Amino acid sequence: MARSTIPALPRCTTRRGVLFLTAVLLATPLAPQAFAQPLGPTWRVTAEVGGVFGGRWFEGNGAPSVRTEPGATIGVGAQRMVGPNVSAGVGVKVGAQPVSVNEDGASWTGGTLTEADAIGTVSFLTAQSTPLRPSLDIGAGVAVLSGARALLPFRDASRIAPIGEAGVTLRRVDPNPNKQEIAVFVHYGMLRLDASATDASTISGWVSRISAGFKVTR
Amino acid sequence: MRSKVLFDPHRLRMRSCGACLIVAAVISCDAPTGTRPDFAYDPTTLSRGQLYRWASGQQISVWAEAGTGLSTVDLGSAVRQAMTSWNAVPQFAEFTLSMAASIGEADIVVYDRATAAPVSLGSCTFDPQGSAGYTYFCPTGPSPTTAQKLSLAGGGTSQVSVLIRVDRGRVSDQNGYTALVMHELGHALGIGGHSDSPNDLMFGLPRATVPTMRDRQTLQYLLGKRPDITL
Repeated sequence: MARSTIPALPRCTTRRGVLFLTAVLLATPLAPQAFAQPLGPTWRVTAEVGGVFGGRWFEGNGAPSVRTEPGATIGVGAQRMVGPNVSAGVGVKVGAQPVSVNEDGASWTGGTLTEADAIGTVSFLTAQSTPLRPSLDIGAGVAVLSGARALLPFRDASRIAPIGEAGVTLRRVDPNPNKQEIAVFVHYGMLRLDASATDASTISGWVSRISAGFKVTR
Repeated sequence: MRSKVLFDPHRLRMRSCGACLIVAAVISCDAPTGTRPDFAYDPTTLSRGQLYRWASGQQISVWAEAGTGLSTVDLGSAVRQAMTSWNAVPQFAEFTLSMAASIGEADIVVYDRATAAPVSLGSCTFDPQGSAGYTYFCPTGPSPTTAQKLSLAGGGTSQVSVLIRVDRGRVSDQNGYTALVMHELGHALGIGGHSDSPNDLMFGLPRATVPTMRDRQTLQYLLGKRPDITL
């Protein structure tokens, strides 16, 4: 059902993220039965490193398009099991991405955008009793943007923006809950940019990106 | 058996998630957007209809040739103030003005009539006709063309492609001198015309001391146009 609807969506980078996440949803069974908890009932510390890709921050109508190139992120957080198949976590991460501006075949740099995110995440784990266990993650929070203040939309935009993300994490679970857990994740995120704070010619909108990386939990 | 499939909570959950993602995808295609402003006055009336500007994203170095005998006004201060005002105008970092460490590294040279020109002129006519300010560059090659690099007066090559001459004898004080330099720097950035409003910095006889909204709109407009001449 979903597959027949997606091709009719507007052509944009977001479609890749939707296709990816829909494929994950279809491939990831959410079994009702209980299983051994991979994280344990107590809070555990997480650390992650990864990359962030994409980001269409401004689409000009007779004006340049402003995009971010691939960048790096690092983060720390804490998470714990809150149900048989559900874990919850909070975390902060910071990242930086070069900004590129394109117009009429010409491109130039717009500086570097740095971003600090504070985000809460809920993960729904599968019931597979194998060492590799995927989960579906959904999160929301706020992002604090800085840098690239010489150009729109960052020049006049609010520095604080709401964000949301969804994606999958594939954990390598150790039978011993006291050992560290290694995971890889791919998340699709969206950010609402209030770009019309002072510039009447600018209209607010959504920015979507994909982040991927490794996470260690102890 | 059939009812079990229809009301399977697992499948319903997956379909709900899929629907949410599709809705999210639709709204996230709505990136922030905007338009460039239209010009407030024609930026090509002094350049015979030719639009000229610097390549987008360029760091433009400016050299102020202070010379000697300028006791009443400060050219360096006027240039720095003019650069600060114009640097605030681009919407997409199309240019950034900065002071050059040496004349050899400069893209624009500003000098006063009271001092000798620090660069040799190109093959084009230099004819200030006693004007308070004069901005000079020399297009070369077929259209779309580029501006000729001017050689240093003492010999040697340079990056200089625009020469600005101002006349301190035509202004009464430092504010007037700054406005004059700022006006000429507006020409050097691509405004090849004069405003018909006396309130604008780019009016023929400027009284404004900063670029007005109309000056800003005109420069922002031309920064989005493909130039006939690249400086």
